[in-house]
Amino acid sequence: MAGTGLWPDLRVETRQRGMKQILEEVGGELMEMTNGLIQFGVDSTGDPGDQGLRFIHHCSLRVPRVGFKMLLLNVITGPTTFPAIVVAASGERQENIPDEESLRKVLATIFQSEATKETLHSLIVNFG
Amino acid sequence: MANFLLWNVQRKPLDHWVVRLVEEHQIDVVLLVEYAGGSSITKSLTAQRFTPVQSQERFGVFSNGRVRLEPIRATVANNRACFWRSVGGSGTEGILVMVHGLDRRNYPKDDTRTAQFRQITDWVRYWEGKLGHKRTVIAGDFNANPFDPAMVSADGLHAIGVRSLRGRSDRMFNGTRTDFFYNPMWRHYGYGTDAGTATHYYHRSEAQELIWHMLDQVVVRPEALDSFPEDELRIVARVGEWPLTDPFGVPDQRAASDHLPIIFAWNL
Repeated sequence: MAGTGLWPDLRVETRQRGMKQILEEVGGELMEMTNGLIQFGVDSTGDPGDQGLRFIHHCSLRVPRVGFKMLLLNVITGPTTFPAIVVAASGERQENIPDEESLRKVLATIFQSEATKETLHSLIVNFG
Repeated sequence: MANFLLWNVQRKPLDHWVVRLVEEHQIDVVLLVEYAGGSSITKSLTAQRFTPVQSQERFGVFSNGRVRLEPIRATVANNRACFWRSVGGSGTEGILVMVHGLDRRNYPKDDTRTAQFRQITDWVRYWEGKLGHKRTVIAGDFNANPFDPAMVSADGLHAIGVRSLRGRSDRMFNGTRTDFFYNPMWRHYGYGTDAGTATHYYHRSEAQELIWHMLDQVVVRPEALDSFPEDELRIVARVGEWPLTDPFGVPDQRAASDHLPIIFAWNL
């Protein structure tokens, strides 16, 4: 529904969860699991590239106590939340992820990979 | 001044070449990528009074003692990077990082290397903060050209072809100041007439072909440039009178490696 001005009613247009919110929710339990030591954080940037607007959601493992931050994966989208591309720093890459359920499956694979396990273990041992 | 040799040896026991390079260029630190564990290189370099330095398996690192390399912890996915505190004769301390980028055949999209390099620079920033300086040098086979987004982007390695931007060593990105590296390889790419114009030759049958690729690179924090004489950075296409290239000027992988070595100096 349009408001009285020229802009669309943004309360309606933005009521869906965005990718940043989905990712923060999916990764959020890491902090509880590590007694507050490691956080899963999301920084989002916009890129008005040659092929149209895209958003990159940089998902990092953070140890706030020592000011450490390390990229785990990027989630790349166009103007809409889906389809999405997931690119892990370890090289795994998945394109055309159509919805949140599929995204969760891809993220679960990366979270439970040997590379991520080794990284988490290292952070706990060194910063715990 | 310490001299460094960087070479992707393609998992081959190229000890005769490595030893000749060490002698000819008075090398103090040998940095080998795609090193085969247990290779005869270790024995040959030990005979030259080099000792192996602790590293990930894919790297072979040796020092003759003029530069002390102390491993520092950095967990990078797939063990594709290694970090050391480097201390030279002057007592100056630096951070040396070795990298082997995700390969271009199995990971053709540049954004995989962008994410990999960002993970590495996150660790670099952590250690620079912890050790209190930015005298950092990163060397390796990045599997990326100097102009690829993974190398240039602030989301990736953030290594650019300028030493400073209006006197600064960082630039604004996404609302925050982001440190960059200086990449001297820009000035070397295409400088030679053919052989040695970059470090790797790869020719497919696509419409657009670069043919020569500068996959092996050394990038430097602007804060370390005072101790990094740029004119000492060279791509080596021959050892003594023996070429590392075939009669067509292509890296001779039957006799040596499909990559050409790089030598550089670092005044530590």
